[in-house]
Amino acid sequence: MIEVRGLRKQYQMGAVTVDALRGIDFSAGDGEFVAIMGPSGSGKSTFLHLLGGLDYATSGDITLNGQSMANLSDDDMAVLRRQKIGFIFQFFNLMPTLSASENVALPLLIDGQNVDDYQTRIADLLSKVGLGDRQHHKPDQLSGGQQQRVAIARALVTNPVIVLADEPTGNLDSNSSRDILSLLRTMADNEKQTIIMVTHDAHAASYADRILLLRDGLIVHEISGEKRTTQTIRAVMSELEAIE
Amino acid sequence: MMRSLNGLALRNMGTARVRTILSVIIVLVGVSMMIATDGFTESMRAAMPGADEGQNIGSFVLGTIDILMTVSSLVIMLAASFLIFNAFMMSVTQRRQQIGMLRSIGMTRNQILRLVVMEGLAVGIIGTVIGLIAGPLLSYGLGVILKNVGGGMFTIDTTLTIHPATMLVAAATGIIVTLLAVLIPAWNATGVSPLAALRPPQTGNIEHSPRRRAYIAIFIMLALMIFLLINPPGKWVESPQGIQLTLLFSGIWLVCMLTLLPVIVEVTADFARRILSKRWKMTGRIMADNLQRERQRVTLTILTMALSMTMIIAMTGFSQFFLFKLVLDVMEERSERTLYGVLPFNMNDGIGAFTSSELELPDGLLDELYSKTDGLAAVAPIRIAFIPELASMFPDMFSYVMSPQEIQATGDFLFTFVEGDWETATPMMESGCGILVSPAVASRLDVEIGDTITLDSPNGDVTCTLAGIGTTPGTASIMSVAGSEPFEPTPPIEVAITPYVGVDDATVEVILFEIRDDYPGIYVENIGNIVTVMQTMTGGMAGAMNGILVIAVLAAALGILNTTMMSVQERQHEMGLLRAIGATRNQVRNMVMGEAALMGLVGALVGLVAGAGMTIIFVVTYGGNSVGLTDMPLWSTAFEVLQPALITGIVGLIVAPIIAAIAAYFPARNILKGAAIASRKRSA
Repeated sequence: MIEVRGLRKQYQMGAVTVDALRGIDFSAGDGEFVAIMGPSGSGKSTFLHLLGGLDYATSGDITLNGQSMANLSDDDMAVLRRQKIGFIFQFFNLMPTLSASENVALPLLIDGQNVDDYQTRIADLLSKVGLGDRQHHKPDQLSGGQQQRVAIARALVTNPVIVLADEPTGNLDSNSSRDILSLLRTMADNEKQTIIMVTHDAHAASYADRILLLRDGLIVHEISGEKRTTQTIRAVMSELEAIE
Repeated sequence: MMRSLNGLALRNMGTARVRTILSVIIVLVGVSMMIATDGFTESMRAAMPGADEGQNIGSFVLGTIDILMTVSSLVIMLAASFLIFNAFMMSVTQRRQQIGMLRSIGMTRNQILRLVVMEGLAVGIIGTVIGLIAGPLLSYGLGVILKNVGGGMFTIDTTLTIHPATMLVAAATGIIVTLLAVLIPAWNATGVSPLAALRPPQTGNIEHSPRRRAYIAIFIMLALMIFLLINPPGKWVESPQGIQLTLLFSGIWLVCMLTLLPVIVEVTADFARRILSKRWKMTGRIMADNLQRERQRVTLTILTMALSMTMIIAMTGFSQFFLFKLVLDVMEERSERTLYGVLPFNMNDGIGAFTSSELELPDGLLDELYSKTDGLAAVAPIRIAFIPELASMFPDMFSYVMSPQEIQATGDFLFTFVEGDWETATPMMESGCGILVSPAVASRLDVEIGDTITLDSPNGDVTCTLAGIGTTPGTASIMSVAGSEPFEPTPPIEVAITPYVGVDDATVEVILFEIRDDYPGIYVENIGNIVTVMQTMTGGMAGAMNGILVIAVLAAALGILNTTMMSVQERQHEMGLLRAIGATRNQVRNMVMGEAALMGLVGALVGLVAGAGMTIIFVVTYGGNSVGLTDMPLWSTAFEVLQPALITGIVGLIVAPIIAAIAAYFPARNILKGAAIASRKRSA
């Protein structure tokens, strides 16, 4: 469960203060898949960074399963990230020196866990993402889609409160994109994993339960239920971009 | 399965194999040079068995070799630290996204710091361990090279003697230097934001250097040179202030050059852009522009090359001044009057002479010399003693032990007064322990003529009187025979024979040759030959040492190889783009090699200016006062000394860019293998 209250973020660009987020309220429950969309400069990336504890908010608070992220030190934030948040990046960001299973185990190693205790979980996760037979392959021996699957398994290995995905299909072909999105959907449905995904792609967003549309640092629109079709999302996005 | 984060550090080393190997190589070269310095001088010392006097004579040569090799190893260690610093800085820059990802999935700053330091530590340990093994081998190899290159002048004992303390110091230096070099990159890595994981990798753009500091540096350098021109300290400074002032001015000169370096790089790049873009169009332009990207990395790489060149040029100038102008040329000037040396060794054997000889004159020889040359020539037996307080150039340098009459018998060859005269000196030297020393030694002992000084001897304290200050061959001090017994001087080890004025030299020579023929193992040389042999020996040694110093240039070339390799990797995308829009493989490769050659050229150029400046500063500031050469024409001496140094520098200017271009060839070739699309794919 993640809750966001009055989230603001200001940047200083020379003498100019930029309001990247201007007071966002938001929450997502277990097993919910939320997509965040918006034109360039709308604040969606900043929002994701703050949700992931990669950056500090100017004001407001985020709570993860009741734990506030405000006032956490850099090290405490790192511990929070490793234990409660999973990340999936656009560029996969796997360690090229490590095998698929070792990449999945990385957050556990960072957390000082005995990896041997997690062998079954790692193998299960890789099987779930369809790479049961690729555990010992290095990233350069895997396709883009397969690398992103490893990244998903890595994001899930610590059983995080939320998984944040930044354009997870931005670097993939349409077939691989479809597979990855289906996988995320399955994780939300079957594993009750909360997933928050930033995307430009209306089709990708249509896999989510809710689509939040941001503009000028505010949530200006939300699409959910039956309306979350690719066409509707595209139409709303076009309207937002036209206003720009 | 990897079980700890240390494993990740080791895996990272495995990925950047070439960078790791280069870093290991340079650490091992530095460590092995430190060990070789000890082993090599020990080998030479061991080649002079049982003859303390031989070792004392040889200490002049050994001391010089020791200084040159120590400086070489220190410069190589410095080059190693630059290379490792550069390599890790580049590695951190290249892995920003990866480090960002590790941060985003929960790695703390401390864990990141440990990860990078672990990599550095592993490089340091591997390089040091191999260096500890390679050091003795290098020592042996250098011995063999010097033995052959030195034209038989050097005798090396093949039994290796390496002090455990040297091994410990070398090992500690290797690891500490590596760790220090890695510390800043590691600290930089901790500053990588987890957000870096979300951003695509970027390559550096052209950066400009601040000009103001450069103008100040130029002003200081000009002011220093004008000061040296108007009021050269060599005219008035006395030892030890001469050394302090020389070090101060050299330091100022080097700091100014260092400040100037980024601007020199920028100006060269601007200049090269104009020329190269005319010759090679866009390829030439990019080649020059790339010199201005990643300024810190390029500057450090050039600095490594510049330091090596500075050292070679300054050392050439230093040895020319120190060995020739202050010692051998003085002896040559004073050898105009015929003087014969009756020696128990063959001068032509060089240092080897001291290995096979007992350095003792056979019984009866001295008496025969006195009797047969009576009325024709003055006979001056030369004894030596080891008196640390009177040592001049090196701590274990010998002193002559002679009577004032024997010294005067050689004309002004053995001693020329700067202060005092024979009238006052003779009674002091006849009535007890009297000493004649160079101005540097007098200054160090803080005594004036007539002052007494207590010297340590194997048989207790001895009070001696300073009888005169002046110049002696090789700057060695002279003690009177009277009062010298407590210092246990050797029996005469050679005899100087000076024909009296009006006596035909040939008559004396015939007598000496007849005596020589009666005593196997005894040689007769006139002073001209002795000086020529010493000059050849010293020249050979300086040449061989220059050869050893080339190792430092090769270490710098490793730096260029490393920098080129990493910047080529970093710019794969760019190169792929160039290939995609029609650049041929040769064009791109030439661009990379040209860029490296430019780095080598600028490094050599900066090294030439820095080294030449240091040579001038050394000659004009230190001058000849310390050895009694008060009338030395400083600037003309500086230019004379500079000539061989400049020749070395010009050779460097030609060789350094070629070495750099060759070093760059391999990474350029590797990256450009295959079709144009492959370069782009590799960057994805």
